[in-house]
Amino acid sequence: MRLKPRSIFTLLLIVILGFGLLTAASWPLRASILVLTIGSLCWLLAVVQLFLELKPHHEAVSSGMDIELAEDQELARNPLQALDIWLWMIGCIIAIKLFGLYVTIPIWTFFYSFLHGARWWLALILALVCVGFLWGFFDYILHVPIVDAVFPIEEWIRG
Amino acid sequence: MWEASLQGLLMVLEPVPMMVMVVGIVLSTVVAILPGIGSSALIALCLPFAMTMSPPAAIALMISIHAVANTASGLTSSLIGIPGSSASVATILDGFPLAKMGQGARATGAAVWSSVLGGVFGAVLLTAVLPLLRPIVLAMGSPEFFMLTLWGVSMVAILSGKAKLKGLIAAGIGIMLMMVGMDAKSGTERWVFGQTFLWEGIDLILVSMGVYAMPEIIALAMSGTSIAGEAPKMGKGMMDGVKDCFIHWWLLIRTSAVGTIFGIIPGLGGPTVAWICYGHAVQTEKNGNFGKGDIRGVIAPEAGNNSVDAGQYITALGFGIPGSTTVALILVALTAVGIQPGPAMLTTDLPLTFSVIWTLTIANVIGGVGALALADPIAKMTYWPARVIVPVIAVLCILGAYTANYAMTDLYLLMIFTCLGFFMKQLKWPRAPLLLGLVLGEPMEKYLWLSTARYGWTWMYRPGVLILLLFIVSTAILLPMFQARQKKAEKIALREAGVDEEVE
Repeated sequence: MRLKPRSIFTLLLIVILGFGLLTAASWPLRASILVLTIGSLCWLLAVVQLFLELKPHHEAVSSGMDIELAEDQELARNPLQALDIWLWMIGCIIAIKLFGLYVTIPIWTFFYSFLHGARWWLALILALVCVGFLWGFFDYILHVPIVDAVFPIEEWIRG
Repeated sequence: MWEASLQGLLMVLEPVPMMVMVVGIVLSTVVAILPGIGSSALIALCLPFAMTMSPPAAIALMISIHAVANTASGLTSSLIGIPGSSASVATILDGFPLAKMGQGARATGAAVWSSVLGGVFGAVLLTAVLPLLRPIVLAMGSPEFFMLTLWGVSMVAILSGKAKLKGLIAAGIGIMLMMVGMDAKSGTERWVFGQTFLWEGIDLILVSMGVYAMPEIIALAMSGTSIAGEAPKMGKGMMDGVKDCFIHWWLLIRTSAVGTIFGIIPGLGGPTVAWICYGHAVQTEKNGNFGKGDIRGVIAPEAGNNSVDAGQYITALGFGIPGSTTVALILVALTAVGIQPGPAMLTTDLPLTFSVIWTLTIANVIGGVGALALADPIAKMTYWPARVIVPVIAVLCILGAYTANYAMTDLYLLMIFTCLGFFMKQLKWPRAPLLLGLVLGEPMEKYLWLSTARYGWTWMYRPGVLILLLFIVSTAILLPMFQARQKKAEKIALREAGVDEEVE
């Protein structure tokens, strides 16, 4: 019996659902009744799913109706590409926290496009479009409150 | 009644209301194609302006914004896989594969026009049923509403394909995710872990972005190609999409009727109805290729989610019961300009009710034409290489998610749900049932609690409940069984006829 990635995922769901149910058990009945009913059923089904996956010769079946923007890019076949985009995404979120939306969005857009093969002027246009959208629509028209950065470079520049 | 209808039309056609309507349409179209910023946000922003207007102008502004929102949000769902609003998520299932096959124009034409026709149909039906409203709506109570949410959940069986067990688990997880936050009826913090930003619960758009859009962006970045890949250019397929709406007219009428009827029920709203209509199309349409690029999978949810608007106005204008946040905001504006929702809207103020109906109709048609004009530039995005489209869509998603609470925590949640969606996609777990669970979780719990508190367990024997139970059983069990048997019979017939199944 070999634990495959899909079984690890199911096992993780069982653990999270189990933790959720244990937490819900201490709530008053009116807050927990539906959670416990649906959660217990869900947990049991997940256990059944795990047993099915652990059975020898079990094949993953179609995931039903789902969107497919790109062909299935299996993690095992493209680990480096997956790591690359995940690092970019996580880097973007960290940079927003550190430097704010106004600094991160254009720089991130520019470097992502440029380092993945776009011409410098195209990367620059994309960066300007993104920051223009952020400023024009979010800030100027909708007055969306922009998140405070740890290092507010934009405010330092403005003085 | 005809005189009132004519008076209503004349009110709408006056220069000021018409101008205001066009402004509303333009604003709504822009907002609808941007993920995260819903029509309710725009209506809230326009409230101070609407309150200073005359009643016909206020109606024109508010109703046009609401009418066009669903029409335009189908554009991005079909073309770039990002729903402009949660009501258009179901459209992605077939609209997007069509765009990937190079039929983005056709998908867009069908999405926009089915939405327009659904909206117009809803308005016509609203006119027809005005006199019959009161007894029907008053006969429905919380037990019936609860059964309707269960009916929506029964669609999981359809949305999960062969992975039914995974689909049920995903739907259960979706329902439980919706329960995160402060429980209003008991004052209990559910899975909040001391984080105040979770009190309000988890935003649906944020989860949609994380579970649906972001994993697709990651897959696109991993592939390094464009959305449409090597597919042929779009050509002039947009009119084909429009024609498709007329070819599948019976489906369009059915789903529009479903949308209008469900719109009458407060709290269900466009997202639920879109899924129910999609499920209805999958169940009832023959030779379907649903989930892989079937135009009927675009027509059904789009017609349904836009016809909901008309249904919502029935209860809003007739009884002052808003069916959604957006309609509640519209009611605030209408009350502020002196329009009092209630029985008078069906008697003395009937011309005003008709001006709402006419605004819905006219705004839908103008908005539809405008959205079709916008479709081509958006459709060209499906041919952009990944290095260009990935950062643009990622930024749109990040900003869209940020609008949930305007805080960094939205972005952390986005990454958590992206992780969940990514692994679900990689490990072939269906994601649509999770979203269905998210949409239905809240009304399901609310109506179950209301039913039990009000009627004890006797609510289960109400005639309406039993009738709806029959519908649910037929949807979830009998119809799939019948379809499976039919498919088996077809296979046997083909085998006996000596036709190779694979070739077929």
